[in-house]
Amino acid sequence: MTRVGLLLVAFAVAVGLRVAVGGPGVASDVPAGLVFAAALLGLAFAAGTRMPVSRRAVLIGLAGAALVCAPVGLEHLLTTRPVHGTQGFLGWALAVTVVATAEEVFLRGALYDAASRVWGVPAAIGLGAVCFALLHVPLYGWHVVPLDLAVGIVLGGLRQGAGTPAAPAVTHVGADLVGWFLR
Amino acid sequence: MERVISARRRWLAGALLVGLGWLASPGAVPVYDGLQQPDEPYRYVAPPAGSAKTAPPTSTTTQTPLGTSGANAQALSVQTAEVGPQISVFFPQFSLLAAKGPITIVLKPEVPTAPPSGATVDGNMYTVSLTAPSGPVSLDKQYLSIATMYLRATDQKTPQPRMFYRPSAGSAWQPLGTSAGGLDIRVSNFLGPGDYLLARLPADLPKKGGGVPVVPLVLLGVLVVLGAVVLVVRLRAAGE
Repeated sequence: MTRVGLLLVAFAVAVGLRVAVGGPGVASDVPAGLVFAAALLGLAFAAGTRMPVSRRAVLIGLAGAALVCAPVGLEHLLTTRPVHGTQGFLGWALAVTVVATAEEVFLRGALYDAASRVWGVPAAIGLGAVCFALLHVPLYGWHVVPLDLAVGIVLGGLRQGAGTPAAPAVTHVGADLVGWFLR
Repeated sequence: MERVISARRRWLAGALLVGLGWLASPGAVPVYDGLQQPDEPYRYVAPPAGSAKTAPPTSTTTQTPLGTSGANAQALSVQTAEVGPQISVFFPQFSLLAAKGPITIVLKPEVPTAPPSGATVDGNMYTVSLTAPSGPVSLDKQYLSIATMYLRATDQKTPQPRMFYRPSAGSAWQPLGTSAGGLDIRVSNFLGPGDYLLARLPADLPKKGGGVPVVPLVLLGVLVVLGAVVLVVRLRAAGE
């Protein structure tokens, strides 16, 4: 089996592991999220993935976060919903930073590197986006697929533009953290 | 210069893509989560035995001014203060009518009284009242059709409860078409002032039954497969 195939099988297994640990409340289950993150980081380590961090990558990542948050932020403004408070934010933020970073290290790191070597960058971006969208189906349902597919492509584009998974990691973590206040 | 334009085009394309994805994903907040935000434990007016100790549930009162048409000039969402809100109502622009403003909207939690026959109530009953200095508030049917009621269930267990409505304490409960707005957020049309609650009918409840405890076995198998894949990838990486 090719390296891409192995990584895909392992990714599916990691998603299954998360669902099995988290049960019906998997989407908000912190231990399940951390087990999933550990599995993805283990796979990325095994594949020898690197994530160089530069000022440019961080800036690209922050711009990406603003871009992917724009629709939800706009909706929030139009429906005049108040922003949420910070009770319980810190612990959640730490966990979500670990999980989101692990997702990016694997999808836009290990899997992107392996797929781009075989099929080129566009295919690597597409494959990462499909995996990203499918990963969220057991958590939130099929209705999130169009948005997550679009965001996955943007995250892949950021990876390609910045030359490192650090940029999409900043975007992903930033969007998740902003999402706390815009829920 | 060409590089700058190309970069701008890429960012614009990204924005367009995300916008389209968002439009095609109704009610898709949470979106790109690494982990969904946790809710605080449900706050009951009359906590059942064994429930977590919490602060009392909150009420909310909001006033909205009238525009020149005699209707609410702005769309507004009204919700209580829990994390996440146990009730939230969206009123579209022009949906609330009165001779004189402002219109006062009150959302108040209550102990469920005379619940739907045979149903198991999930959480509090919420009473929605709409008043104005000039007397009753009427509703514009056209605009009200997109007014939305969100109630949070007490937990994320499936099957999730459905929403019921009655216009006044003496009237019969009617089940509402209910959809999911999240794992524990139930969504229906807002039909007007009155009482709203979530409940499960006997047919909604899961059937109890025994079975082999497969979860530990599945977890063990999954861990073994994952470990094997990590080992293979590592060995291949070392060999390249």
